[in-house]
Amino acid sequence: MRRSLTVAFVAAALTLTGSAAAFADEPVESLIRSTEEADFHGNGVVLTIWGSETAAAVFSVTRSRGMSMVSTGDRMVAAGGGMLARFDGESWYGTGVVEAAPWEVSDRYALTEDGATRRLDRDALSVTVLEDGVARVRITLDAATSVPLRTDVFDGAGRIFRAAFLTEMAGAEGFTDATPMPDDVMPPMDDPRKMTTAVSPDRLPGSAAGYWRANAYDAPNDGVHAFYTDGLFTFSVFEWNRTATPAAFERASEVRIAGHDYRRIVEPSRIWLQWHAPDHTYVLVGDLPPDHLARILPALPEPGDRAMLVRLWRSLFG
Amino acid sequence: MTHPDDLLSALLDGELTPAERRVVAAHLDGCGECRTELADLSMARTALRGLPRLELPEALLAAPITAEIETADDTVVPLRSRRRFGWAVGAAAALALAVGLVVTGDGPAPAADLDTLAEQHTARVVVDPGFVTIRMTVDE
Repeated sequence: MRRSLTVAFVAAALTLTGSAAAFADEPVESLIRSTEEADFHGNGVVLTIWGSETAAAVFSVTRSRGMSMVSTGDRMVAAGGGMLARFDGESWYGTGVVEAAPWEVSDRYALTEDGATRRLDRDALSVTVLEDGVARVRITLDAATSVPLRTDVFDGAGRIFRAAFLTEMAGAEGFTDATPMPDDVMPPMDDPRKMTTAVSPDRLPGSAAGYWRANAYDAPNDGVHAFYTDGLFTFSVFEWNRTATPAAFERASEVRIAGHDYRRIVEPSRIWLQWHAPDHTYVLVGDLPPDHLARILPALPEPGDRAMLVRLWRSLFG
Repeated sequence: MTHPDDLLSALLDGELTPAERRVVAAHLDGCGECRTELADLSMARTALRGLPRLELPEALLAAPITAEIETADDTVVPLRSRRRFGWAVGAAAALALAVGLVVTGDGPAPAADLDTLAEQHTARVVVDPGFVTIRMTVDE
């Protein structure tokens, strides 16, 4: 019953807009779709290494009938086509996407097969997603199910930026009564928060360095949320027409990118940046590698000069 | 096989050189034992961060401060030397306030809750196909 409620909500809420996918027959798209087809349960480690900062987490994942459930410690996320439920240890919170542009994969990506291998005592296949001829993502797929057993994402210099390893994996035939299933975990939510389309954000570009703005939504506190993708990586930019530092960034480290200073937070599977432009605050979150980030930031509003006043104050009065 | 036990903790602390990180990443790829240890370390840190912050008892806090006051040099610093710049500080404060009002526009900061922003971002991410193992992990 709970699952049927969820599926009904998703079916009613998800309205695709825009043109049909332009790259429907491309092998990268086929690869990504094939990794989503298998039902499996696994445990693994994911880590992100960006410059001097590293973040790692152990996770458990179950994929079943088009829905996923991922847990780390007592926190859980259950998701399926346009619906996300997050459990923070005490309560469930739901978010539903009302409109989403069709998925496409940038034609800068191509696929090459590296050959057969073994992983977790299973027959596996190694494939590499090339970006303009250079390795960007290397994936070891279970030969029988296409489950990604290991995934490495490389930065522009060929170094590992993010890695995810499954340390245990069982296909659907290995599911037991104790296997946590996403449609069991997904709670009934009478009033999930719905992401509705916002007016087009005039300060955020329609495209940036090979990414396109797929959608724009209303964001909390009268902000705007622009979602960008290139079909393989994604990022969101949140904009508020006020200047302030969100509390979570007050103790974040600073990083200099493309000649400007940003505050950053590195998490095991995503990165955050925060900056101010005059009268505006921006927060970026995404899974894109640092060299992509360095290329898209110049297309976004540049950090403003409010920090100059702080420097001036400090130079005058210590 | 030599396991980089000491380096795993340093990896989480971001204290490794790029060369060391490459070595550790390569080792982790082939060593389940170290991946498990890294996972345990990460979980232990998460648990530690979740512990409640305790306030020191007043008596414990007051005693050293009292002792410090009693042994401190009692030389009095004349305030006049600072007050000479009082007008400048006041003027600068007024200027900064005026400029700040212009810059900050219409009021206090938005209270951006990263959990909510992450939820909104991830809800849109999972609409599209992708590699579930790297895009939907629950972050701390």
